[in-house]
Amino acid sequence: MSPTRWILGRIAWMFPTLLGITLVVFLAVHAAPGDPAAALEDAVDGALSQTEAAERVARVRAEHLLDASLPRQYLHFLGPFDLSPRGHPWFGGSGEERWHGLLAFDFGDEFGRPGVPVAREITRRLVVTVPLSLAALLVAYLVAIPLGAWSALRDGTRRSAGVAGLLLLLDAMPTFWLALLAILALGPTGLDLLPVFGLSSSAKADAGLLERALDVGLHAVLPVLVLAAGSLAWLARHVRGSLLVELASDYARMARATGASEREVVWRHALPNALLPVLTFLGGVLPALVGGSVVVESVFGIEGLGRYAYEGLLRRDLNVILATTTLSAVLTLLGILLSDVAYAFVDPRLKPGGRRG
Amino acid sequence: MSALLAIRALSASVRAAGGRASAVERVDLELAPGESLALVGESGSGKTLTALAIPNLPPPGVVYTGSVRLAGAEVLSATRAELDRLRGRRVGVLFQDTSAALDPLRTIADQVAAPARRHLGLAARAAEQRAVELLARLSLPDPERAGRAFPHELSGGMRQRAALALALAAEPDLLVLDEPTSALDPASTAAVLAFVEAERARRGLALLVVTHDLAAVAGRVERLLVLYAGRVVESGPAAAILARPAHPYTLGLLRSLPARARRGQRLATIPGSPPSLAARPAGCPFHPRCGLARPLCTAAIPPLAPTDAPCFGTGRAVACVASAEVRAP
Repeated sequence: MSPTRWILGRIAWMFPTLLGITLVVFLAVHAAPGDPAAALEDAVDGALSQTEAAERVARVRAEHLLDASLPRQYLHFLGPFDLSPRGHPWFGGSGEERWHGLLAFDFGDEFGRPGVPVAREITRRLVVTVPLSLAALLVAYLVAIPLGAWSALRDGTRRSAGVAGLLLLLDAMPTFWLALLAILALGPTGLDLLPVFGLSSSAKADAGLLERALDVGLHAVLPVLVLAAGSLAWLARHVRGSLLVELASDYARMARATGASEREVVWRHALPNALLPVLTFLGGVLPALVGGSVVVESVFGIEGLGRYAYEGLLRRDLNVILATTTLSAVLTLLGILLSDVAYAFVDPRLKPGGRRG
Repeated sequence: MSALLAIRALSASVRAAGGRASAVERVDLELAPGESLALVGESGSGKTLTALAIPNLPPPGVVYTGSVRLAGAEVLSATRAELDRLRGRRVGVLFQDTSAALDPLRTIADQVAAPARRHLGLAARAAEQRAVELLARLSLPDPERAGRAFPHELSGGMRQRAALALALAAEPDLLVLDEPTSALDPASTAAVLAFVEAERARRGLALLVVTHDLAAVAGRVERLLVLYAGRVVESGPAAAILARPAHPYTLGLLRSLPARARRGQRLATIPGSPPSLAARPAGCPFHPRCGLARPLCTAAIPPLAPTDAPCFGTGRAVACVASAEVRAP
């Protein structure tokens, strides 16, 4: 089997997997307690008269098929046909909205804000969350690998033990607490070094491009660092442990017995072997773009995807929940695929379609 | 000819309950270029620790004292840079377990070429060419392809020979084989021994074999050093010792060889088990298991001394007060 065919095969398998995931997500969301329309009613309570509110709830129920049978709702969500009263004429709709659902990348409007498509909102927030997460990821890997390697190579010294202890502490620290500490220490209440809310200051809205870019960059420092901290500690501890194992391995001893310097043992043999498992973690990073940033985006008031998913959950907005959950499922599948492919290219034992030992 | 290897009063201490215990006690050993010697003893006799002192590669927690001179250089006090020049060039080691001795991420030729590049100053291409030749001389089938292969693509026996090629790649003066009969399959053993013989004849390669298996080295090494509880109890020419041991422990080892037992007869064993590090008996460490033990044996450790009894021949040394009573096997 050629590598290309192997990868194509893996991609082909993602579709039935994804279909299964959407079914499970759909059923889980509907099995969860709480009525989305009623939640909406609570939300608009007071602003509208009772009859207006009731009217609006009824409209939402009809528009989003909340009274239809579960299979019909699922097919509506899956698409590509719109099954609502205003949907595709084949299914008894008026024909105003022919296409809908996952296959059409149309998850409908938000329950609470008619006219605001969930898909557009997700795209808007991906533009914020993806650069933040990628920056955090870069920081985490760039710091974790040298730090973990350093700590393994100096194993047994006091400084290495100190670093290992600090990493353990950082690894165990909840993100929200770390974020609060950072805000208190560096924000206006502390040293007042960095902005701690949002991603730009309104005062700079009319400034030049360079100044605005600098402003966004400064705003991003703390969220990126806090986002990076957790995975950094965890990753560095993995690198350290992994390298210690490889340095004590039989092939490292054999290399020493043939006159290899310790530098050679580390760079030629132990480090490549130690970093292989770290590569696997890259696969978990894509879904973390959605999940990992929930806390950080909430604390720093950033309009990102994680916060969107969280708020949708609080409002029981089925469209938002289904869309964000499906998106993170897709990202998980892609992440696994990416790390498998990367692994297969780096580790000779896993040559796709090659001879196996 | 001056000695290639001279070990003087080598001791190895290991961490034990309540302090340190001595796993090797004042071992002396000398080896000339082209000579072959076997360190023989049960597990825990200190034979492997003695051999690992030559490249100064102690297992974690082991500390050596004494002197190991290899090709004129003191090994135990050498810096890492000095050791790197000796390891692979003066002494090559094949460790007991060869299954993981090769880096899984590098090709065989790449790994076997490394020592030649390091010590002989060969360019990458020339070193890889030599590596493939070495694989061929170790009777690896299809050496070109084996050179391009990764360790997992080779069979266990081929990996063993590749590991040996790695140990021999920079043409060391001395080859240390730790338990070769457990590390190598019979086909590999034959290939290895033929190669080692050829290298001894060609350039005077010396051989030091560590084994518990007297039968495996009988007829293949010139000299024997029998260790018990970290001490040399008997040394001398291999043929003479096998024909007429001077220490009751050597006799016990010989009698427990399966090849010696007649069909239908129970295999002889040495009663008891080797003493643990923490609880070495007073006096001769072998006396609790010895049929010839007498009150004198519990009083003091008998020193290793040359025997001049004519029945043992020349060049023999033994640490036993009753050696005259040890019968032929």
